[in-house]
Amino acid sequence: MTQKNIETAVEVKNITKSYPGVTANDSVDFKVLKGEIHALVGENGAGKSTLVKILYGIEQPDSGEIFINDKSVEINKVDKAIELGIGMVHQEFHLVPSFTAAENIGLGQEPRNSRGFIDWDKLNSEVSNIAKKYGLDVDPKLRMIDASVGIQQRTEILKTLYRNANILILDEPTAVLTPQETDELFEVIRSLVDEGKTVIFITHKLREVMEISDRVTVMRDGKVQGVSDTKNTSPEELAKLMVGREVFMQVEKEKAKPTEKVLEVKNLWVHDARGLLAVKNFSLDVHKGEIVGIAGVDGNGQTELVEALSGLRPTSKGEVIFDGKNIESFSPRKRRRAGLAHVPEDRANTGLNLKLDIWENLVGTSYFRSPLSKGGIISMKNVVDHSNNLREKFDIRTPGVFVRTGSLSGGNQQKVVIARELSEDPLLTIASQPTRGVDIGNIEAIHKQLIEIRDSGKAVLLVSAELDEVMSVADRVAVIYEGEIVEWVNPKDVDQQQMGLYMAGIKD
Amino acid sequence: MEWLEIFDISLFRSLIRSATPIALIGFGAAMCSASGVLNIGLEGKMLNAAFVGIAASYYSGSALTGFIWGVSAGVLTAILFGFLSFNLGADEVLVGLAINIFSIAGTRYLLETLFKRRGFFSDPSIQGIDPITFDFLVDTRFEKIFSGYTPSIYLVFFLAIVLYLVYYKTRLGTAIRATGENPEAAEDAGINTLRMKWLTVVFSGVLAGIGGTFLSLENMTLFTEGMSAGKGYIGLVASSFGNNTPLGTFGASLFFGLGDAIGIRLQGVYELDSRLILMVPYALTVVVLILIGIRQRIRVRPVPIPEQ
Repeated sequence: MTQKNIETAVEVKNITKSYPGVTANDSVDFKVLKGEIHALVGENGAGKSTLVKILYGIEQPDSGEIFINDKSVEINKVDKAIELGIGMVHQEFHLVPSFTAAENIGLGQEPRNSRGFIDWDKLNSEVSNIAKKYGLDVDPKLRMIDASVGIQQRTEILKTLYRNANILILDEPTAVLTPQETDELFEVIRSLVDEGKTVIFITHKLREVMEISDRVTVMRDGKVQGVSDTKNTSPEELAKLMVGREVFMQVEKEKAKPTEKVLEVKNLWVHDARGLLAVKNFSLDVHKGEIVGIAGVDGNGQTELVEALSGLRPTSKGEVIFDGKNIESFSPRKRRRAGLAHVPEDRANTGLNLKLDIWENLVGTSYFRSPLSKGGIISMKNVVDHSNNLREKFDIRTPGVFVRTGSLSGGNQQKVVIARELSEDPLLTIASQPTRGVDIGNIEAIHKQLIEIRDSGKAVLLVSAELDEVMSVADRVAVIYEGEIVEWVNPKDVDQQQMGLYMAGIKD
Repeated sequence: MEWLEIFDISLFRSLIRSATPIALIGFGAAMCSASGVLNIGLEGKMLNAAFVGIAASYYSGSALTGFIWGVSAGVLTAILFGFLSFNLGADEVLVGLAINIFSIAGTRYLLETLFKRRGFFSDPSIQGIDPITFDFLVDTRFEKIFSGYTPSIYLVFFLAIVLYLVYYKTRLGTAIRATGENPEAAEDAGINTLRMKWLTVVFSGVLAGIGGTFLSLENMTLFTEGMSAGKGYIGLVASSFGNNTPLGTFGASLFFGLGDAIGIRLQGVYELDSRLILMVPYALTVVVLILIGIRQRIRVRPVPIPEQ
């Protein structure tokens, strides 16, 4: 899109923001033109989030200046950002579950009648009107508990529009969407820009940058690495700027040589915490020497499936046979003992105790066994030796094992989980979202590790919402939708478009 | 069926009287819970108010002065709760428990040092709060139903309606509910969530204060050690049973009041052991907690697996 008289919507000059130990933003200059879709890209921890939090008044910069519509401003709180016409859609939605779409959209600004009571009818019709104007299909009376992720996201966008936002910041909006929902979102973004809005689009998916944005700013290590018109750049060039070196977007691996069956899931049914059926009549086999992938949009039963397999959630019906044994009655510890390792999706709450030291997390599943314990008493010498070995072998970057796990970066925390899980040489490793919140360098390392496990004759079950990850690492892939397998695919024979349809539950 | 005869107007009046302190606490607890504060300390607030109310009435000889001081005691205890929980970051439940235990010991200490009494305190110079009679109802059939209650009882009915309107029909109400359910969403909408929590806590302190003076200056004109007798906790259960909504809490409070009133009446009919009757509200509380548990269980009843 070309603009005749170019005006600036947002300009940030020389912003610096430090947290204890890190400079999140280091003399950042960032400029967004009026009416453009500006992509802000970078790895996790590159400083994108800090920058937009400063723009939205959640964080205050240590130094630097902000201009909105060419006027110098100080954004010391969220109210001020809203007043300046800035709206933000967070990665985790900020919605009140029991409220309707309209109640969420109008929260704090509901229209009132002469007696001071909220005029709900007026609010509902106002919301309908805005929704129609921008082509956002949302029923104002739908409760958010009952709404799909896509509708929740549209409600968030409407929330900013209802507050008259002219500059919309979307923080990784496609992370939770199917490719089709992403396309719909892009339509919405285009119609927003047609109506004169400015959009800042944060992502680390380069394909999306190329598709939707007019201009792109790349950040790394808290600094801006480059700004350019999207049409003058390429994914390869952007990736290089993001990572600071050439990246191989393809994972190198040999063809799989599957041998005997290690896991057999037969007609499994699992209920979720609300009593709904999360996994329905699910069957799958995993053999030694292969990586089986489960692809699908988050929240389609993957969590419950993995919990059921690892012994954290009861199965309601069906069989789970592991290494020839029915393990239904096995506790998680007994399953581990039998050779089943689990890298949970929620690293911070399930995978690790972030308040404990690294060594404590590393021996969390094995401290009670010889030689780590003798006669019920932990042998510190053996535990420390063991921890240091793992730290070296799995390249955990830390000053020592007597360091609080929570002080590590996301990538290094994940290495602690993986080191612990692989330390007992399991027959099968269930890896759930293993690279979520991990930087690109460490993603590569984790992928290599999974392939090494496979090549050593062990099995891997990889569950991931990152389509690129499952497709490049796994040997065969089941697409899951609403708890059922839609289709088995060979990653080499299927394209993005087709996968998108499967992930939306559509089978030709 | 002689037991049916207990359902008469005096049962109704006794029900309303029993339900009033529970509803006052329940409304405060409901507002606190709606804003995400679990306010266990209401029992202590009520007890402090009951004691301070009677002490102030004794020294001043004025019921109004007693009332004002009693309510102030409830509010001050609420501010202490908020300061420890919000400003100093202490655990809400522990602060609430500490306040309750401290209040039992504190009022007993003051009872002994100020009035040289043990167990209870009553004196002719204490002025109680008088019932209100509506002259236009005298000698009509409505007199016995609507007239002659103390002010707090009318206040409870008034509050049920006002709180209902505030809860569902004002920005304040949606702001409080959003604060409890998703504080980030509330903050995002420019709502000061800490202010909302303070507001509900102080409001619950006012109501606990009124509830306390109801016990010592309205319902009776005396103070006994630990006279709140678990009503602070029962109010909390009532708000939970009523889903933290104003009308739900009100309904649950009437239910507790009914149980209490029936117990008292049955005592007259069957000459039951009075200690058994005194147990009724607490037994009822356990029953209600079981019902709440069952309700939650029903909510997560697993969907049946279809036959193949």
